[in-house]
Amino acid sequence: MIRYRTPLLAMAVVACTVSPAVRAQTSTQLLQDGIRAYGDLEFEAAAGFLRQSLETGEAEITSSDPTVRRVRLVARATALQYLAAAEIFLGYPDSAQATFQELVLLDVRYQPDRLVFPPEVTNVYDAVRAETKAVTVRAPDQAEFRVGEQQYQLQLFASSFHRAEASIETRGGTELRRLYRGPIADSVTVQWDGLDANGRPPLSATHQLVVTSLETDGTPVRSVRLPLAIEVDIRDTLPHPEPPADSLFLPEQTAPGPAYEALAGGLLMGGMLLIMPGALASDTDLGGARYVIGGAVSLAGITGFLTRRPGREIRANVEANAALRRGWQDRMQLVVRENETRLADIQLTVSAGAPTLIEQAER
Amino acid sequence: MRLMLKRSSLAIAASLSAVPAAVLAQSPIGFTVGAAVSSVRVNSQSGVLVDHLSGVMAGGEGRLSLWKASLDLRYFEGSADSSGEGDGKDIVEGEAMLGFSPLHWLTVKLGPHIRSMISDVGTQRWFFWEIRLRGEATLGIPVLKGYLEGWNVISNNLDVPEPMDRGQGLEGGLKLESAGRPLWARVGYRMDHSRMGSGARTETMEQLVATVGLSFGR
Repeated sequence: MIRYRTPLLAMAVVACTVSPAVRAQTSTQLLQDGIRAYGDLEFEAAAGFLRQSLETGEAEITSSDPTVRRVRLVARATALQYLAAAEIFLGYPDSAQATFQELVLLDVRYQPDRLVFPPEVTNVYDAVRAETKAVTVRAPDQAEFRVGEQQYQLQLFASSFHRAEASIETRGGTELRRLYRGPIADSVTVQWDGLDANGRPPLSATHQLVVTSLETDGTPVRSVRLPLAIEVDIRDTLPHPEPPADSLFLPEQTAPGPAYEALAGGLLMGGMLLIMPGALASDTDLGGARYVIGGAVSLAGITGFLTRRPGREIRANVEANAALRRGWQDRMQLVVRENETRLADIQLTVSAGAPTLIEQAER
Repeated sequence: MRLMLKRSSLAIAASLSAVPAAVLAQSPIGFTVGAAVSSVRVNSQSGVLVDHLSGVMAGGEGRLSLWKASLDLRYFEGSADSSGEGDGKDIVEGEAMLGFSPLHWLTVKLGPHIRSMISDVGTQRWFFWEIRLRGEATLGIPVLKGYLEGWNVISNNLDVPEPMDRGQGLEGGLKLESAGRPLWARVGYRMDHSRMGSGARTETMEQLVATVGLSFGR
């Protein structure tokens, strides 16, 4: 075992100073060394390598690259499995249980290879998994969907049967929408239509999905928080059309001016034609033509007054104004419908980040 | 007489065709022509002698307007037969009036008015300078207008021995315009009365006039 100390120290020094790529390579090498030592029944050495591997590779777990993150999760889970097994064989059951719990929290669906590990190891793992209440979330790295029409789907996996709740929250912890509250046996699919509790789309920001595991009495045990970078794409709405200007409307009732002009003009002119010839040529026998024309002018004036009497509805103008109003209302309805379509056509782009586990005591 | 009428009509038509309608429509110039026919009734009284003449006259008229100013020309000729034993007469009449419209419905006119009464005995020529006032009113619908024009003789030169005491007249009637078209029609009553020699002689002419015409420009 002593022969491993020098290389371990050297590796630890290197792990603190070299670049992440070199560190990842070192972590992988340490994992391989640990597995090899475990196979050689060198459990003490195996535990040493594996712990070093876990410490060295811890940084990669929160990598922004989902592929790197997944590879490192698998490597970490493998390291934890072998470490816990080594600890069992070294006679450290408490350490083994703690390591298995860490493994369960890392991946609640993890199943040890029962051909590699004997029942005395897998039984401990099963017992720890049954006691640990935790949930992991599987979310698409990036998803685009229409608010209200399509759904953003998330899968929650439970370590064991327990109750849990899931909600979308702001980074400040304000709940926007409760997605699920209930039991989880193995897995549950939850959906989000992109709206908050008030039926409105959220603001573009980084929010978070919070899934909390609960005790049977409802006490929170631990939560997993998944950052969700949300971009809201709302199309601009059209301005409402201006109502027609007053100057475009025609008078709907006859004005008094033309009617009185017709009456006064007709009676005055007709009267003059009837009276004046006789007054000018009082000593002459005049013909009757003046009565015909004078009467016609007077009658035309009276008829003009009656047909255009003040306040009478001008039907053609009323219809023209109604058509003008209808045209504006039709345009308004078109704009309103178009705006409703545009407002309903909201696209959300959700990018999931790396989940973090928070024990209740840390909240 | 018929030959003269034909010449007048041809002259009016020639002047009308010479002015492009589109040019007139876009300018402040207005141009109106019309052809008229009238039944005429003349009452001549000299002392105890009274002569009634009646007949038909035909003629034309034209109007040229520029902004508020206007020039009216009118020509009529025809013949009238006596209802008694007197001779018939040919009547020729013309006038040229310069006008000014201070309001769209009111026009003041000034100009000469000439009339010749031709008979076998000889020709009487009457020359008046007249001042006129004309008013128009729309009678209910924009295309129907009533008009009334009255005048007074301010100066005269007559071929008769009696001095003129006064001369007055008036014309009124209805004018129908065709909406959107240059065609118009008018029917009116016209009369003038002259008193001479302290009432020893009076001359009164009445006309029932029907006119159709075209207007261009304003």
